[in-house]
This record gives sequence, C-alpha cells and structure tokens, in this order.
Amino acid sequence: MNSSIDLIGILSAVAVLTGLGIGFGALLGVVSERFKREDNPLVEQIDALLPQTQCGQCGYPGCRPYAEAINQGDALNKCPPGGEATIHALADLLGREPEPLDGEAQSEAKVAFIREAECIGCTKCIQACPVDAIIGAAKLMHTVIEDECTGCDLCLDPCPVDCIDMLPRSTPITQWQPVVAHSSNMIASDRQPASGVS
Amino acid sequence: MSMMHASGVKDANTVTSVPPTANLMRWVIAATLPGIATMSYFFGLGVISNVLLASAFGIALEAAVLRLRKRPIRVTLNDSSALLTGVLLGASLPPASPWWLIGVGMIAAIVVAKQLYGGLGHNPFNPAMVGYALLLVSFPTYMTLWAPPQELLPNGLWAQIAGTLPTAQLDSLSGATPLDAFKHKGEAVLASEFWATSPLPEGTLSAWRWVALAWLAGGVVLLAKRIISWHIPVAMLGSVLLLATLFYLSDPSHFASPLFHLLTGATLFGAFFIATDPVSAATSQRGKLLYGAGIGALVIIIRTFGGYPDAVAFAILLMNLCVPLLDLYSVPRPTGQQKASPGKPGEQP
Amino acid sequence: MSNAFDFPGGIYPPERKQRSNQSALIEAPLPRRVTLPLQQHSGQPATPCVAHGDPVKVGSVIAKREGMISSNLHASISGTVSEVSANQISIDGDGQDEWLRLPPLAWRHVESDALLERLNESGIVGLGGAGFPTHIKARVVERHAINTLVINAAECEPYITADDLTLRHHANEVLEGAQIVAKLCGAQHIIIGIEDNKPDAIEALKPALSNCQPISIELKLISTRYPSGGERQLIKRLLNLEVPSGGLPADVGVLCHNPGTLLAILNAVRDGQPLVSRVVTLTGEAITQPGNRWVRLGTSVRELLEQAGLNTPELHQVIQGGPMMGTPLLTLDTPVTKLTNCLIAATLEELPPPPAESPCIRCGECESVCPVSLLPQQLHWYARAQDDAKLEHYHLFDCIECGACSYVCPSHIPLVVDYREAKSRMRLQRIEAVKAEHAKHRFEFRQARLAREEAEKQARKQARQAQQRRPTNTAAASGEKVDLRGLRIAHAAAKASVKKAEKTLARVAQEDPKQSLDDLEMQLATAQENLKAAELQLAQAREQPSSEESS
Repeated sequence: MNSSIDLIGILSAVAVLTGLGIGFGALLGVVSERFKREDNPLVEQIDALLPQTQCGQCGYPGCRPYAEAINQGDALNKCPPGGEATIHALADLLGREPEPLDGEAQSEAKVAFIREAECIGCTKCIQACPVDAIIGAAKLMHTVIEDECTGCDLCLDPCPVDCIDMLPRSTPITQWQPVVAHSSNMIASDRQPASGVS
Repeated sequence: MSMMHASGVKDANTVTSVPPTANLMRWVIAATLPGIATMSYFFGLGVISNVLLASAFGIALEAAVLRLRKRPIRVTLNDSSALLTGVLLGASLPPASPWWLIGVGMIAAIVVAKQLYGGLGHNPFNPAMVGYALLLVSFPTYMTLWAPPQELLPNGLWAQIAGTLPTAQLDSLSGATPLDAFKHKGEAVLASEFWATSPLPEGTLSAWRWVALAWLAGGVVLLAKRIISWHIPVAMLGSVLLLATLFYLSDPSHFASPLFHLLTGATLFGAFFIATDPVSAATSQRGKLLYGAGIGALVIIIRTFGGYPDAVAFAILLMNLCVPLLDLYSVPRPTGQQKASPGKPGEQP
Repeated sequence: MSNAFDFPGGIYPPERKQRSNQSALIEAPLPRRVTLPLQQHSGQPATPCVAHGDPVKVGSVIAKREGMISSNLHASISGTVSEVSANQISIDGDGQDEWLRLPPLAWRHVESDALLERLNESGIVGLGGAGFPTHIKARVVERHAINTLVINAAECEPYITADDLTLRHHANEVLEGAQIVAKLCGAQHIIIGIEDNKPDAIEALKPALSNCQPISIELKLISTRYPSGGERQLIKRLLNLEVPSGGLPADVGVLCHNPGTLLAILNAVRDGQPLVSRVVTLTGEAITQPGNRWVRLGTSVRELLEQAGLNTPELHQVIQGGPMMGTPLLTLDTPVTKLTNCLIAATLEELPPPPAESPCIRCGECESVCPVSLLPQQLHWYARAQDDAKLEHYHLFDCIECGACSYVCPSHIPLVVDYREAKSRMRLQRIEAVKAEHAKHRFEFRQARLAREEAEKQARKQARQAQQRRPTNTAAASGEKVDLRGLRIAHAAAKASVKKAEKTLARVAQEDPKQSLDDLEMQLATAQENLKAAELQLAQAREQPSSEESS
C-alpha cells in the first residue's frame, strides 16, 4: 500500500512541476512575441560608442556596419581610432571580455592636408572621403576642410601624386588637458609596482 | 589650488578638523588603553600578551604581503592601521589565547580581509571582525573560555606560547561571560530566578561593567578629539537601548534588561572602536545613522533569538554588507538640484 | 536638511588678514614698462589695434573686443608701444602719465543704452577674479527680470583684503556704482553682504548707506565662514534662494557684483576713465611692507613685490589669488592683470607643501564640509577610475572647486585636482562626441547622395532603353522579381523621414534662434536625398512591364 501511495505522490509532484514549467514557458513565449521590438536599439547603442571616423580599418564599410557585426558577435577590438577606451566601453555595454586592440593604436588625432602645389585635380580623393570633407572639382584645386576631416586615411591611397599628408590636429588652448600623474597608484593592479617602492 | 591644509596651519581658528590618517589611527590605539588596562586588571596579563602578539602578527603579515605586492612597506606601515587591527582583535579574544589562534585570526584579518582587497581604504568588511568571526566559528571552544576575574598565573602565559589551553585551570574556568551564561540558562528558567542562583563566579558581572565603562571613557575621548563623529555610536547605542527596552518591557522574565545589554559583551567596545572604522562604515551622515541603528538592532536580535551569545561581530559584518546600499540611498540633495537623484547625462559643464 | 538663510558645510581656515589690513590703500609707484595680455577676461581674446611705435596715453584703446563675450583693452601708462605679439602688448612708459578720458556721463539722466555703451568701451570685467565682461553681464536683463542686486563684499578667502580696503576708502563710490548697475538692470533692491571680520569697512559703509539714492541699500552682516563669497552660497545666505544647477543667479532674479567692479563702473561712467588699474593685496611673510595698492595693469609682479620689500631667499612661492583657489605663479616675470586680486609671497613655513597622499579612508569629512552637498569622496573614486557615467550621476559639474574638501582631508588627497582633471576630460569628450555625431551625419548624407545618384542613373538608362523600344529590362532579365510593395513602403518611410526632419528643424530653430542648425539641416538634406532615390526607384519599378505585385 505504502509504495503505491508514494508512487502517486511522486507522479503528482512531477506532473505539477511539468505543468508549471510548460505554463510559464508558454507565458514567456507569448509575452516576448507580443512585446517584441522591431528595430534593434542595441545596434544604435553600439554605434553611438564608435568614433564615427568611417575609415574602414575594421574591415567594414563604415561604423554602422561594424556595429551591426558586433551585434552579431564579431570581435570588439577592431577599431584603432576608438582605441582602448572604445573597447572597454563596448565590453561594458555588451557584458563581454575586453581584448587588446587588434592593430596599431593611434597616437594622436590627425587631419589630412593636401599640398596644393602638387594637386592635379583628379577628384579621386574627393570620391574616397567618407564624410565629404574635401572640396573641389575636376581640374580645380582640392582642399581638406579641417573641421570635417576625421583622420581616417582613406584619401591617402587613391591620390595618384601622393600629395596628401596627415598632420596632427590643432587643439585650441581652451581644450588643453592637464597631465594626469598620481603619486599613489590606487586603482592600479599589482602587476605594475607602485611609484616609490622601498 | 588648495595650498592650505588643515593639518599644515598652526593658527586654524575655532573648529579643529580630523587629524591626518596616521595620527587618527594612533589616537584610536591610545583610546583603547583604558579599556585594555581595566581588562588586564580583572582578567590578568593575558590581555596584554594577546594584544602584543596580535600586533606583532599584524605588522609582520602586512609587511610580507606588501613585499609580495611590491608596494612601499615603511610608508604603508607608518599609517598604523595594521597595528590598530591587531590591538582590536587582541582585545576581543579571550586572554592568553593560543598563539596560533591569534595568528590565524590575524591572517584572516590582515591578509584576506584587508590586503587582498587592495589595502587600506579598499576593504568592504571590518578586518578585525572578519578575523574574530572566523575564529568564533572555527574554534568555538577556545573562543568561549573566559577566565574568571583573578590574576592570571604565569602558567597561563606559558600555555599561550605552547599553544595549548591552560588545562590546569580548566576546572576553575567557568567559561562564561555574563552574556554566555544568560543565553544558556534555558528557556524554562526565569530571569529573576537565574540571577538569584549566582551563576557566575564572584565579581564577574561588576568586572565586565568596569571594562565597559573604560571603553566608554576611551570613546568619549575619541569624540572630543573629533577622531570619530557621534553618528554611529549614538545611533547604535540608541538602537540597542530602544530594542532592548521594548523586549524587556514585553516580558521581563525572559529578556535581559537594557542596561545589561549595554554594559556586557562588546556593545560599548563595538560602538566606539569597531563600528566607527571609517573604511567599512557608511560615509554620508544619514547613512551613518542608519548603519549604526542597524548594527544596534541586529545585536539585540541575534543576542535574543540567535545561536551565539554575543552578536556585535556578526551585526557589524552584516551591516558592512549593506553599506553600498546605504550609501546609494543616502545621497544628499546638492544645492541647486531638485532632487538627490542621478544627474542627467550631458549636464551643463 | 537645508537650513534657511545658510548653506551647508564650509570651513574655518585661519584668516591671516591682519598682515595686510593694517595699512591704508596707497598707489603703487608708476611702472616704467607694462605688458598687457590680450586675454584678461572670459571669452575671446581682444584683437590689437595699435602697432609697434604708436604713441599712447593712459586710457587709449590698444585692443578691441572680438566676438560677443570679450572686452576692450586700454593702455595703463602713457608712452610708446614697444611690442605687439599674438598674446600681449607691451608699452614703454614716458613717465608723463598723460590721460585720455572719455566724456563724463551724468548717469542719473542718461539712457541705459549710453551707459551700456560706456561699459562696453571701458573694458570693465568682474574684478573678483572670474573676469566676466561687465557689459554682457548687464545685458542679462534682456532675458531675465532682475529684482535684486547683491554686492559681494564677503571676501571669504584667507589673506585677501582688497575689497575690505576698497570699501574703507571708497564706500560712497562703490554704492553709487551699485546704483548705476541697478538702473541698468532694473533691480529694485540692493543688498551688500559682508563678513563680520571687516569692522572698519562696515563702519565706513554705514554713513554711506544713508546717502544712497534712489534705491536704498541694505547692509547684511554674515558670520565669517569659507566659502561664503561664492555667489551661490552668498545668495543662499542673504536671500535664501537656490540658484538652479547649471543656471545663473539671474534665474532667481539676482545679479551679483564685486565692490571693485562697481568702483570701476563709476569711474568709467562719471569720470570717463576706462579700466587701467585695480586694487591688489600684497601679503605673505616674504615681503616686509604688505598692504593694498592701486596697481596699474601690466605692472611686473617682480617689480611690484620688490618695491614691497621682497625677501628672495625666504620666498617659497608666489600665489596669485587666495590660498584656497589661487594659482602658484611659475615665474615672477609676469604682469598684474585685471584678474589679479592678491599676491601672496609665501615662505615655506607659512604654507608648507602637503605631505604625500595616502589612500582614502572613507571618513566622510569632505562630505561634511562641501558647500554644495556633494559627495567628494565618491567623486574622488570615480574621477580616479575615469567613470564618467558615475561622475555625472554624482553631479561633478555642480562642484565650485572651492577646496574645502581637500583642506580637511586626513589623507591629504588633492581632491580639487582630481575634479578639474575629470571635468577637462569630460568636456573634451562631449566635444568629441558632438563631432563624431556630426561626422556620422555627413557620412549618412553622402550615402544618401550616392544612392540618389545611382537611382537617377538607373532611371536615365531605363528611359533611354524605353525610347529605343528595347524589350529588355534590367531586373526581369536577371530573373529577380521587382518588389513593388517594398519600394512603396520605402517611399512612404522616406517621406515620413523628411517630414520629421523638417519638423525637428523648425522646432529647434524657433526655440533657440542663435543656435547653429548645420547638423539638423544636413539630416534634412539626407532625408530628402533618400526620398528622391526612393521616388526614382519606385517610378522605375512601375514602368517595368514584368513587374509583379508581390503579395
């Protein structure tokens, strides 16, 4: 007698739990369908963190396609203009591990400069610039608008006479940044010794 | 660019401010001396040997870990925080505890609870209390053996070095603090009956009361020198008194009186010396009040309903867990803002 | 809990005013040479309008204001211009001290516009230390109603006694200057807020108050506490009003002025004298004749201090401003400017360098002294961690950088340095973010333009083929179905985008006419290009003979 009662007990427990599982699963499924968003805000957020240089060094034609690729699972560390800061920001946003930059880090902001004496007016650089920062027309002088140039380097290769230089961007004195040097390395890891090791 | 500092000017008028960190720690150590002296008077030199051993362990362990972390040793040890942890833990342990007990406690306190989190300023939990709680849970027999008030014989001290219990005195050791005895009196026994049977050795209760008053004296000195602010001790003691009074009034036969709670165990010691540790406590003034009140309430609740006789260590550790939450919810409203709630991104620079 | 008529926190540093407030205000000797930087004020630097070799008199305009927030610059000695560089103009004096004054104005009978123009011409800026051009500040009444003028005579920083001495010697003039400003901005009340550690100035003010016309001035004494002289803190103490975060005192109907500025305003209006000199406190243990001086702008700091008996071996540092918010000078060969209210020649014992910082022990002292009720401790952790989201959460930009927190810190952490670094970095990031957004819009516009050009090319090709009656068509030949419905949806979406962009542009243009609308116009243009491309594609698809309605 006892064993049959036990059996009924076990079966009813299993049945209840299974029923609950199915019920809640169905509820979750319905709700996720009903409240699904059509657009993908995560891609927008990823795109907002990228530097918008539109340089293509990540292998994608612009920052938005790279943002979509990251959303699909691509690596975070392909953006040299963004540098370490962007990799960490993306890692924080997506909950992934940050990796070291896959490529050379950029030392400082640069802008393109056309040496006008050598320009032949071929418009190849104008066609290459992703943000239309070069003004000019066929057989007429080309020049780079410094404020619009993002420093992406895409105009260097197409130029047949190689008359474009990348120069450091001029920062006005109002944007001077103080040099950060702290005497006690508070948040540093123990991998580097603190200053003033006895 | 702030070329003036409160500690650098001798002619600062009226209100003095908090002394530099190293001096702060040393003042706290100085303020424990009345309590330690009173405890030694009643419970023997074992108290002092505890403190000395614990301090030695503390400094040695901290120096060792700093060497491993490649941090400057002398400068860091100079802030006396390891010494302070040693003094506090040493004073909390039963007199003449075995040396290895003290060592284990200090490893938990200094190495695990403090240095592994990043050193001074980075530990979320009170290091001395972590050490104490670990020892209490791991070695309950050693931790609950308190000698009655008498001069501890030199044999006791030898036992400390040998690492054993002073077995010769085991008979005379009743092993009870007042709290301990009260907890284990049994449900059926009424409080009045319990005290009538004189459960503790002669003079224990009054000895503990003197010790508590000595801690209070040290605490008052700290308050006067502005080493600690009044918020945590007042909130904690207030909450202890309030809750104990409520319980006592509801059933005097089964609950201890508020004064009993206040003057026995580590209530006053905890209120002025342990709970006020700035690193693990809440920071804002409102937060400090809530923090102190929480500790006080937990102390009474655990003492009354929990399994351990004294609860200050656990109460403090539990409230340490709550400190990030307290800090988050006691943000003051900046002048010119509508509420204390988060600033909007892109606020006017 | 905010107290009425008081601000939270504050500290009581040693006042150290005795050294410089015992002697009367005197004129410093006329300098033989002055160097006048082109930027002695907030905003854009002035542009020189003299050249090397030009003769000038005291009060001649040597540089004109540039842009909206800027200020004129005048020669402070008479002589010849010896150098005009990108940053400064130097004048070699002839010792004659000849003046060129503007005609005096009877301010009670003159129109406000004339008064404003006089302020504009006179190069007056806020002399309390911030240097905001006064004529722009007076024009705040165009946007906000002002009902109270506060004269900020608190002078809460240690050492500084310039306003104290100015009030002792020129109380009547300062108050008359206040009447001028009140007339300009329409204030009906004037309050002068002064700390109680200036009994002589208070005594000098009392008779002057009774002569005041037309608006009576109220004198309010406040107990000495740093930083009562911060304008938000002072407004809270005097009027119990809180200036909103990110806003101006004008948002609560208040305008604040420094006594020195008001005196300069009177001199400019009544006597036609532009801003060519100011009161400077010379103090510190390393000079033997401390006190306050009327100094011609551009005087070398070295010359000034040496005339006051500078003891060079004892000198450790010279601080411009006060010990809490001033800056140590890197060299003594620098001129006195419109912003120099005090020079502290300090010895090593007087202001010892702070010991090295220790870790923060979370004691909370900093929080208890913050006059804005911020959490300096949290700001410190997050500034070191460069966690910008958290810094904004804890209102970093409400910090007035008064230094009370670093004054009390037991671990000697230079907190204000942390906040300044964090603010600089965040401001730069915001500028960069705006730039990146702008670059993105330019990129999108370019994509849209290329798409439209492509669509136009296809349309022309198709028209050509239709003319030649070729039966082939592009899409069907390749076997693709032309998705007419999809193109119609795309077209509708593009139309909606254009409408939305137009509406946004109109709304923003109406709200703030002076704001730059380039970025929004570009987004509108992008939407229009997309619309054009969609139209072309739709038209092209409709003409396809083999197009199908896809279900």
